[in-house]
Amino acid sequence: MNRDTSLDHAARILHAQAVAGVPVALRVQLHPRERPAHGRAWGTVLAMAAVGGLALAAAWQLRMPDRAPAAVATGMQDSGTRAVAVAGTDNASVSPTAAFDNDPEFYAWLGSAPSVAMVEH
Amino acid sequence: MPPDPVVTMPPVVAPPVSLDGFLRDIGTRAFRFAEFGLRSRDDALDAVQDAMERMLRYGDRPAEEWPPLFWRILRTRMIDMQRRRNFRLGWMLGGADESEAGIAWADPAGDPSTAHDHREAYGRLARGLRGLPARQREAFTLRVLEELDVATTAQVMGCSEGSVKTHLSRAREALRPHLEDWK
Repeated sequence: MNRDTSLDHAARILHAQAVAGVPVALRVQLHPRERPAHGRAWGTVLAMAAVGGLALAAAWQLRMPDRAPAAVATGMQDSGTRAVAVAGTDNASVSPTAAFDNDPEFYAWLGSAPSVAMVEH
Repeated sequence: MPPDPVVTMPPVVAPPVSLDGFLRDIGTRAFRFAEFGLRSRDDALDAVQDAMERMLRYGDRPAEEWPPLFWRILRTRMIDMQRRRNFRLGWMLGGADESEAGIAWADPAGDPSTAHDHREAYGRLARGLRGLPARQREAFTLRVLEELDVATTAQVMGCSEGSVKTHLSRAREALRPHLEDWK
């Protein structure tokens, strides 16, 4: 028992020195952490707003590829080809080559004499 | 090295009259307790601050219930932080700093030689405590250094009084070589 008492006494002395030796910079921080409720509420609102903004930006980006074929089709319409006139309709999902697929006169022209002559020469 | 005769044991203080006073008095002791277990100055500070914040919810409890309640909250918080650290960062950081340099120290003694001796001696105790299993370290720290009685120590640790005595006995045997010079 005396051995234990002596050991405990030595440990308590060292511990008392260590407690007294806690730096002042740490002592001033040893108090309950301040977490104001209003700060947390505003932080939550700002976080939700940021997430919503990112979602809108992502949705806007996803819509951009759908506009590319229409832009191409519009350019082709400016060149005066008749086929693209079909693609310039309200149906934005029509592919740029759909006009050629549905135009019998185009295939008739391909089989005509001027066209064959152009291919042979 | 003989014990420094200048250093005296902390006097027995009267029960705190307010929770703020209780937290102010126990802050540095709680920091050392957390520093032993978490081996990190920043983590120990976070744990103590968090335990103090949670303790504010129990301000209406009788003052004699505050010490065991606070130590239990702090111990639970430390275990939670250790689990999170081991799961998330333990494999990346390769363990925390266990060296004596990791101990926050600003010795009030004016003599640099005395300050060095104090820090070196405490470093030996700290290394010994950090080498113990958690239950033994908690039993020794709470029962010997914080001078809680066996029943309160058992309440804080969530075990029986017999387990506290067993852990304490094993901790003393393991720490004896580290404190031979001071006996």
